[in-house]
Amino acid sequence: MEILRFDVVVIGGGPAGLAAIKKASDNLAYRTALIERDDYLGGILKQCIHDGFGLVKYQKLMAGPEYAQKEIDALKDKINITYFMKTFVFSITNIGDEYVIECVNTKGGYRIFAKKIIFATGCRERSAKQILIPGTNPSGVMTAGKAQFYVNKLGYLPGKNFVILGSGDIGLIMARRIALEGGKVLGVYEVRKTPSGLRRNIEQCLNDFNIPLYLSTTVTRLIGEDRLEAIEIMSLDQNGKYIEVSKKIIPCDALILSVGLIPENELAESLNVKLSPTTNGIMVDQDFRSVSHPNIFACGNSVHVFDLVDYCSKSGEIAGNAASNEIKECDYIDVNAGNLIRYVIPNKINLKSNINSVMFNFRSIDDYGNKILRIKQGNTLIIEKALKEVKCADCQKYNLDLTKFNLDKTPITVSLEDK
Amino acid sequence: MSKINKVNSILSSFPYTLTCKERDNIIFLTGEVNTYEEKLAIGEKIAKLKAYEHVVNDIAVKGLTIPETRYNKNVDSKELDGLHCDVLVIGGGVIGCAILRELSRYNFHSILVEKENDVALHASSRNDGNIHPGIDLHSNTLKLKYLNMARDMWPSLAKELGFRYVKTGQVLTFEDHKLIFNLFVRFKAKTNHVNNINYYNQEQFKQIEPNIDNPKIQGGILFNDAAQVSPYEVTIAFAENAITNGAKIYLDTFVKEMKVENNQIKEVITNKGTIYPKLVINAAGTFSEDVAKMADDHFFSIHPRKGTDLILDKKVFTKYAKHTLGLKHLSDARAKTKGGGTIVTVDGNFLLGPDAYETPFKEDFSTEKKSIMEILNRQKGLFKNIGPKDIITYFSGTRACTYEEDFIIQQGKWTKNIIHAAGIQSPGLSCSPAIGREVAKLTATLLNDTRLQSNFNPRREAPIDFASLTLEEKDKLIKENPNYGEIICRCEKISKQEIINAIHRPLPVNSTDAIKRRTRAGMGRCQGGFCGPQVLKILAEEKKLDYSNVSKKGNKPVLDRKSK
Repeated sequence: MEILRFDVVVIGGGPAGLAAIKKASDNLAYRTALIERDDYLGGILKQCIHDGFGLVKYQKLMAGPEYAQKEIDALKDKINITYFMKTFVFSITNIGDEYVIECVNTKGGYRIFAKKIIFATGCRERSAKQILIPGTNPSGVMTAGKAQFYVNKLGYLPGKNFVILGSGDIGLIMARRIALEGGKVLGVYEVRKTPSGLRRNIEQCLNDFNIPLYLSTTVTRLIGEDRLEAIEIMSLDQNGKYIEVSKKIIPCDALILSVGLIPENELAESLNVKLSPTTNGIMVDQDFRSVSHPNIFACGNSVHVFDLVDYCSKSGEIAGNAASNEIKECDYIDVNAGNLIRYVIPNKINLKSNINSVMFNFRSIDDYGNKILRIKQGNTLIIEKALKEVKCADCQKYNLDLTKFNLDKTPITVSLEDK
Repeated sequence: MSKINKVNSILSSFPYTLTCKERDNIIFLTGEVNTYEEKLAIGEKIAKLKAYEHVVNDIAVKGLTIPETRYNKNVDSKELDGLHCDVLVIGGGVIGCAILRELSRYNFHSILVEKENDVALHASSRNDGNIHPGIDLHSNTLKLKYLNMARDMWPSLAKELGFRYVKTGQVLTFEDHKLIFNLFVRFKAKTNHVNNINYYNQEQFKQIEPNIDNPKIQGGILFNDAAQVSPYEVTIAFAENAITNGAKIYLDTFVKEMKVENNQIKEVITNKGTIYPKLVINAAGTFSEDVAKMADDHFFSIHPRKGTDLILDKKVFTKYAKHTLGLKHLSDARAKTKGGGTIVTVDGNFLLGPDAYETPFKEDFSTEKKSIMEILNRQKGLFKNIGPKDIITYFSGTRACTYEEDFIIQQGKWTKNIIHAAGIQSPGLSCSPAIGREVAKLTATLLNDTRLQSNFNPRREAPIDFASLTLEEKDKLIKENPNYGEIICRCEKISKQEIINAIHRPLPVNSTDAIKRRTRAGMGRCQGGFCGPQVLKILAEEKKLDYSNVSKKGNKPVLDRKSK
């Protein structure tokens, strides 16, 4: 068994973790390590063989593996990074001012002492059970990521006649993928009134393949014992109530779910790191430092579900950069989700941070059309901006330059309002 | 009024032409009614007369068709054709497997057939795993008799067979009628022989369960002997130990009919050929009535009672409760179930439920949103903050209830070479070790052969639980076998080698769900989202199958065909 010591340990080798380790290891006095549970770096990007990645960071559209490779290549010359591949973290505990990470791989067990930890642990997909679809429990019901693994990595189609629930980008892309591989996609069902995926994906993944999209309709029951034989669907009225007469049985043998992602923060939670009750994400300041644990950082989808990988990478850079510096004290202002806002990142602003421009990421509770974004401190308006077609599926951004404002410690509120 | 007149007066109170017939103290009902509820009500009323030993309710329900019993029709093997054996156990639930394990102590050639492709697939996995204190049972029932026999068997059995047995203790709480509850429990504890009970007032209860946030709770009664097991782990342990001792288990084997002559079963015809047993044991759960019918020994009826359980994330338990808990109201006394409660499973999950409602469909394991929400809301009396977000999965099962609401454990009434272990409902799991032992004894008596196997091995090695080891122990195992260092199921922290071990244990593993029941891979909060494909891959590789020949459950594969 090996006992090792590092200044910074990044947990998770997806896009956020790769960016974080790159920046953290810029401090050459630091010994850093990256722990990845798979046998490759790049995380979920490696199975996202469609394009659509990199427009913001590299000004060019790439497939997932290509984007991942660029990020991996950027670490080539780094000499102060130790990689633990196919290594699984069993536990993290806090002893004194250090964290003790117990992990294993096929070579043995490791007890790793770390001064700082960056969580880049990503998300897991919400399952059929978590959205409370009743009925039977047959095979053929799977999350989009699982379907993607079967098709793109094992090279098998997990069914003949597919229905897709959820019109997020992953759902749309899987619809196209299945159609390209010769599976029949009967339709994409979306419980909301508007699709959640990007317009270009609706065009390229559904319309180009004549795959119908059914809005305000959802799966209400699974039918079939060993294998899925059919689903029951129902439409919802304006108020989100089921329309009983719309009930229909659709024969199919596969149901792919793209119904949301949950930040996977069980390790952080075991250290009592503060999580958002709304998103399950680690609560952070503008440095992506945990608001409860100054030597813990978080980036990528373990903070909240970013809509583009480019922004995941960005969050990793900020976290890695902050972790590579010695900590100054924290002087926090709360950031609250105001009217019509589901959540805002960062959860606090540190007035002592080196970062003077704060990127607010926020999502609305529902779809609202045109609204005014107002960021206020107490009753003082800091900024206002007109937003067009506000949709809860879109992650809105606003960059606030702190040097232009004289902030006190009154909480800041981000809200959507009418004129 | 004579017994039969009482029955006739009940029958005539319904607006149908219903008839009854009596034979050897069994009352048979026939006719047709409009609804299943009416059929049930008639059966229950007549059973309440307690005039007959059993009610056989053959009343038809207009327009109700019961689906054909499911079994694997693709089996074309005749591997069992012509097989002669001493004992044939029908049904691979916890009862059948407990019996088989006890039979394997004797010098018999014992086999067990199960129509599904694993053991413990019906009530024995659709179960909360609670070892009951037995306070609520009626005296003079087989339920109580076997529970009192089984209670002390569990701890040593768990050690012998390498399964987990956790004395969680169970707390009954109440918001009102404190005195009545306390008196009732004190009285029943005496008659039912329940020991180790603590009575707590409001203050003391707060100390043992500080997180319960209901000021109306007046106190609690702790049954220290209540425990938890994993019902499928126990069933698999019985099965594996039986196999180690020479018994055989045939999966995917469905009993279709029997040939009975002179009150003796001569032949048992299955989808794999005809078996010639000296004695048959009926442990077929909700299908035990069907087996009894085939054996010309139809003296009881089974009416399935469905229930749903919810499994909550492991994180929730640590936040909320220390014991198995139930909040009781006096009105529950008349209900058919104890009303369910919250249970901490041996795996550390929080389990809520079960509820109870009648269904004519023995194999309807589907769930309803209404049930799920009702179970959740019922526990809000104890835990305000529990919500749908905490649920990771839910399942239903059907209990095999007779109209008399008690077990049937006896030799056939008319057919002499059958033993019924039927009508096993709650607390069937709790009683299973005793039922196994007593049925095996009865078998030896009936076969007039009590010789024991000299080399019986009572021990079963528990599978390695890698996650529970210290880092040093983990390291040592990995150095011996690197597959332990590859973690497949992230939520439950299950290594590749544990999955491989499960595949090569005495009882064959035929599906990814079978691996789940043995290792917990796929049972965590992501429900196999990450590890599902990996487990499928390992199973295919270990069994040298194409990926497209692996199923999750049953016999329909997960994957269809190679992609383009």
